[in-house]
Amino acid sequence: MDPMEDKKIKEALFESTDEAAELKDMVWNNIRKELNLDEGNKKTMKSKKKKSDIWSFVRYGSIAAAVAIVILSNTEYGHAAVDKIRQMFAPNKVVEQKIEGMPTQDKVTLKEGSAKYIIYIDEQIYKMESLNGKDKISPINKAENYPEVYMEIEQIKDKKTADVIGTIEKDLQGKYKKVENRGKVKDPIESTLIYASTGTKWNDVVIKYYVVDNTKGGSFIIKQQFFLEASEGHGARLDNMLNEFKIISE
Amino acid sequence: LDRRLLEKIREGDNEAFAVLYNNYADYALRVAMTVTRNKMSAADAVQETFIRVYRNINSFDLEKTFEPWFYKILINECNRILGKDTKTIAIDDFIENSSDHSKEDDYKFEEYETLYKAIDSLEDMSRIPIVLSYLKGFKDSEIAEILGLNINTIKSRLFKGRQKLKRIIERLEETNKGDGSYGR
Repeated sequence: MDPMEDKKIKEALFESTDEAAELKDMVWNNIRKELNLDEGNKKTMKSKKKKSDIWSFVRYGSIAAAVAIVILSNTEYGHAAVDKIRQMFAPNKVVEQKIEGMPTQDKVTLKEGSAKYIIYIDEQIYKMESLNGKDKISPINKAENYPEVYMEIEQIKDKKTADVIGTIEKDLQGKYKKVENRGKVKDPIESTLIYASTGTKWNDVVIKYYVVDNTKGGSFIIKQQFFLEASEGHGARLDNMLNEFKIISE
Repeated sequence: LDRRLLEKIREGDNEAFAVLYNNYADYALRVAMTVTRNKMSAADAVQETFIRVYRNINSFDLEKTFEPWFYKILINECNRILGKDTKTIAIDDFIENSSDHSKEDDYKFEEYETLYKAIDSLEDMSRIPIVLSYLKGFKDSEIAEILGLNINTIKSRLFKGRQKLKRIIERLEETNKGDGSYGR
């Protein structure tokens, strides 16, 4: 390529990206705000008031959150892979979304889960525990006498999604008043959704399974449980987490 | 200059951080836009990149050159944003692939901006090295460091990308021969 052509390419790149460069001030303002640079409080995250009553428990779920779940499908879960993940994803970030017309911000933290998972989680609201190869994300504040709220993530390496879906449906039948295979969905994650509930009362249990192809002949099973009243709260929030669900393969 | 700035930032000098931003933001936004193809995504990527730089500045080895480290974070942030709508991201997203899936555009090249569209039409594996090379002027070795790839891989991708652009430019010039519209 001759110098004239090089020059044209460079100029084309410059001219066509001016509109992004014009956002420089806006981005700086966001950074200043995020890092509290004007307050001299450079690395302290804002503390969030924790509410303990049941309604805040329900409402917590309506605050926007995002969890990027990174799943390493490689059987050798080495430090190198983890390091690559850490390079790829921010250790902390602020997630902003409008829920019920109100913009909210949450800080989420990259965490290393057990058994080949790395996730972003809002540790002010949720905790993640691992047991028997499953990761369970549940609210820190649990209300007594209300159905449990949680999301479980599990990888079944040797079962295709069709097989997993059949097993889940069979398992749910008889246990729940309503069991529906809602077919393939794209939102919050490309998957097959199986929905079940015990009824229509406020405290009836809702179960949602998202069965995701792991792209290697296996499946991820993501199970959500909450109660009807919390559909717009934790239910929405758990779905928001899945908006950034990622499978990382080496 | 960078080293002195970075030392000050480590000491908590926010003005130094502002200077660093001022020095790097313009190009970072341009590169991010070409990678994400969206100015708001570019803004998001640059914002997260600077926040990461600020929070992780102590982990940066001052003996090394700052810019490749910075752009490595930026490209990763761009990939993170691009990956939002996909469920799978390969850690090494740039596996060498000799097959050429991209098609050269059949745009009717009428204006200068169509060259950008031609660049935009390149596959990521060629486009990102091209952008880093032309827009930011990185050396092949620096691009290899940023993308975590072998330098020969980068050379190969740059070569293929340039060849493709060269053909497109030639077509542009043929199309616009005589009317003077190209290159204004």
